[in-house]
Amino acid sequence: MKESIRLISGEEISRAVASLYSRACIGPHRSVEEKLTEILAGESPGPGRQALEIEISNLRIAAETGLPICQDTGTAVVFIELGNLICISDCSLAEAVNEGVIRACMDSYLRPSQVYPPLGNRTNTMDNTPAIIHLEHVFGSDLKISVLAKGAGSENVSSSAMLPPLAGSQGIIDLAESCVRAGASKACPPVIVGIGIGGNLETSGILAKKALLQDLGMENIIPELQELEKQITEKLNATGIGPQGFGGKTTVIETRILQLPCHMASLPVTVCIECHAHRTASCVL
Amino acid sequence: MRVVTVPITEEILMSLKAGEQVLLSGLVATARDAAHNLILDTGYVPFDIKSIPVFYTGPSPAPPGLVIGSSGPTTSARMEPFIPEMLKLGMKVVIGKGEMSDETRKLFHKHGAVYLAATGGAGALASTKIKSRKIVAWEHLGPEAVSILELDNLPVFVAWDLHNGSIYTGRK
Repeated sequence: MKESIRLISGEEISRAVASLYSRACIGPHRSVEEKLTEILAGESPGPGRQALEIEISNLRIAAETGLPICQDTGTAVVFIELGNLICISDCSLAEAVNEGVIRACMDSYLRPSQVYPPLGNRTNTMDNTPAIIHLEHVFGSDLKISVLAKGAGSENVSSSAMLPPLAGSQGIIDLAESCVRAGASKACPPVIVGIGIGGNLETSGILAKKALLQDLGMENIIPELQELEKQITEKLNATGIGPQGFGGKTTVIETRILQLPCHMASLPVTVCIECHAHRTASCVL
Repeated sequence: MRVVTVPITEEILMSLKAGEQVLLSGLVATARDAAHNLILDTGYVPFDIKSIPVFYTGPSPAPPGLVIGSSGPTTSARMEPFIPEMLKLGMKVVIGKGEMSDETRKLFHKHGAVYLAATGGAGALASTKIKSRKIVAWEHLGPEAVSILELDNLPVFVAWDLHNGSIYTGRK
């Protein structure tokens, strides 16, 4: 079948990004609310349970008032799947995406949190740009945009490692455990653990982020990884760290793993920790 | 639930128990990394540090008609390098989120200071518990400027009390 080129304007992309980024920061996030409510039912009385109640009620307040769920409206991490038949007619993809981030920041009163240069005077860019863009070129005429509003509290306790090639699943479990034990209380738990295995130094990180983009409750299509996800979640929940670190049965809502081939001499791994609010949104243009 | 009002008397401070949820009302001062850096660099504390709790937060911008945007706690551990000096200056109450080191916990104890943990991520809820905001120093820092907030029953948890109690002890 002969397909023709599809023109998309930068404006269309900017509008979509603005709407997705705002929605990610404000909600409603019904599936997250439902999941946290389900977890609440299993928590025993105590401060951890009380904190979980506050987390759930906060999600509702944000959706009702239009205030951001959290003051840290994060870095806009934007994943784009760009169909090969798409042509952006009037600007670069990065320009269109960043314009969307600026609009969301201004129109939805999101907090500008990006500073430059990272060393020295760290001046705020004032519009939360630049976004971090991950582009995948795919077959077809669709443009899929997914936005993750990634706060620093959870990002700061994430970690990458170049493990010995035969460290195996135990190496992955140990890295996830060390991140969660050292940092979960700072990352607004219960957290979601995204893990990228394979690729190389930079792709394992992107993969871990991508793992976080999947909907809650989605099963891993690779049985071995599904098993490993379950094992990690159970092990980390046995720590008793609990909601906000105040003690409880649920420290980790879910573990999500994605993998890629890697060099025979390497086992790159990134464990990316995500807060309970799981602020994502996506659409297809 | 107990309502605790600033200024918090010595007696009330002593009565707080780790793990307890209380509703905090009255004035608090916001400060995070950049403001702490300036306080220690200049020696100027733009609020009464002995009676006003320090709230680690960098609010999002206020939409029209509201006094403040989303305003939950930020990670306390980032402020740890500044805490010894702040305690020496007389800081008695901190509001933040997340566990800090045992070394810092001992310092809090030594100085008779209490650590209150607000719910991390619950910024929209916190915003509805803030009645007023007045920027008192370093406005150019934007979300990191020092401001005085008037709280109205903000739910917080006693994380470290004055009796060596900690909310972060459930770990196996």
